[in-house]
Amino acid sequence: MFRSTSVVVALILGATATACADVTVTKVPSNGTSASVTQLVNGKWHVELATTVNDQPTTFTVKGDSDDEIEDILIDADVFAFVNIYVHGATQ
Amino acid sequence: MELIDSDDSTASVFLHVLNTVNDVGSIRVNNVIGTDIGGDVTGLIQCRERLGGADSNLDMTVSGSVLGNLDVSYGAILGLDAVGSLGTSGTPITITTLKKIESIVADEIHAAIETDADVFVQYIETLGVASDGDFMGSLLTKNLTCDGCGAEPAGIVVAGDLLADLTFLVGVFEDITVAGEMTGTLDVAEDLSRFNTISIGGDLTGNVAFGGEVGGTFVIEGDVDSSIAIEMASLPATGVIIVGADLNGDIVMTDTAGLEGFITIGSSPLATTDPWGGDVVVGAYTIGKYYTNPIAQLGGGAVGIVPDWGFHSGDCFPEGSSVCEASSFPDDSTVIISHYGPIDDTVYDDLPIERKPLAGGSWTDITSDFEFSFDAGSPRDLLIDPTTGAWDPGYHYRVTHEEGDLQIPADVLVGESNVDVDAYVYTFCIVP
Repeated sequence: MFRSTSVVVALILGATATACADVTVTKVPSNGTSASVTQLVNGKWHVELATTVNDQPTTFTVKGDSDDEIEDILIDADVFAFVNIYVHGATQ
Repeated sequence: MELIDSDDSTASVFLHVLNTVNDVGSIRVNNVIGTDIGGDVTGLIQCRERLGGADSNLDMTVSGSVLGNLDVSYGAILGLDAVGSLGTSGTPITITTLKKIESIVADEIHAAIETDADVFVQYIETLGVASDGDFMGSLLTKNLTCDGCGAEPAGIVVAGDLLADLTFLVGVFEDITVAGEMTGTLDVAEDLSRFNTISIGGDLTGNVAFGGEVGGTFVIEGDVDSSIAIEMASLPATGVIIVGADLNGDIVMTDTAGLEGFITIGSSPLATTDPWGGDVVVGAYTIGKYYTNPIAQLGGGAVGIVPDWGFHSGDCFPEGSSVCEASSFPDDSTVIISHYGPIDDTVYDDLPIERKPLAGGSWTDITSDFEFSFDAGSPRDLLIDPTTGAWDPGYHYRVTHEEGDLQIPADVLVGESNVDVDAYVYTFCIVP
């Protein structure tokens, strides 16, 4: 699903955190992982998480404000390690 | 949130935390652990297969209802707590697991629940806080049991009616407690454990079948409907079936002499004056109120009506109203009055024993020459032995039970108190 043709805007800020408007994604490790947060026309957020890290677990933490609505979270992890997802806070 | 999806990822994707205010649609990852969903779950929850075959488990808390199916075909449900319902009466859901179901708690359940044939269900509860608390649908699993769960809850607790059909491919080793009626069927391939109880607060209108024994206690506080049967291979000495109101359907023990335990009928205030309407079948014999079949035919147990317990004349020694030859009745014999159910051996009054000459005369009280006792191995029986007296030939003997001299123990009754046995008179005579 992540490999769709839709345009994805990925904002990678530094080594450990990706922020986009009110919904943020923190990822560990920073290398070999990517996250994108896109606001859709309906105002909801589209989140895509990807990892190519094979030698250690990958952890994604998605956070939002109480008035944020996440439409979906799609994960692309064609690796053989664990991927841990945390969706914290008052996200809708 | 509409979707969390790991699609065809090869990684083992664990959703450790999902904290939302409102509804969640579908979740498709490998393991769902520790979600706290503020609204409903409206779509499919699927714990996908993991490469290498490790378990893909579900542990989820929902503040609303679960309205989509749960596909845990590669693991276990470790916990599923829903403040709302699972499914709706119009749209029941399916819950499928490969491994055990440790705990499902919801306000009401409308679901077809099925585990693999080789695993068990530990605990299912409906709360009935904002609903009737019914359990509708079905449950299919190997055992209702607890595999070393210690103090964790185990069994099935239904706050309302049990309308679901329950199938256990082996046995029931935990309690089932239903506050309301049971209209679904219960099909158990083997036994109800000797240590457990099935308790139905209302009427029983669904068929019940055990391929083995009912070793524990089965309580129906209401009626057993005329259209149904409670079947089992046997009711062992530890087994008790309590029909609080009326037995209109049948109780069937397929084994020869399969009635070793007790069946009591009519101990609830809801019972009519003639509460035994259905058949009780033991092997080849069908018995009814005040049956005369001897103990050897049935297996040692009994079926009694509360409080009209009475004594089973043929099982007494000597038989009630019998004429005994002195040559076959030594004067120090133990007289046994055998009842249609157990009597409490801790609370009783001596029953007056009287005799009068066969040649005529008046009754003389000889109670003080005898002592009363009970046989722990035969709780139906009251034993009377001479002490300073003897069963002399040439007399009529009369033992008068006044209401309350003996009591039916509470553990074979609906309610928590003993019930007085109704009055009766037991007689015999000894000819020289």
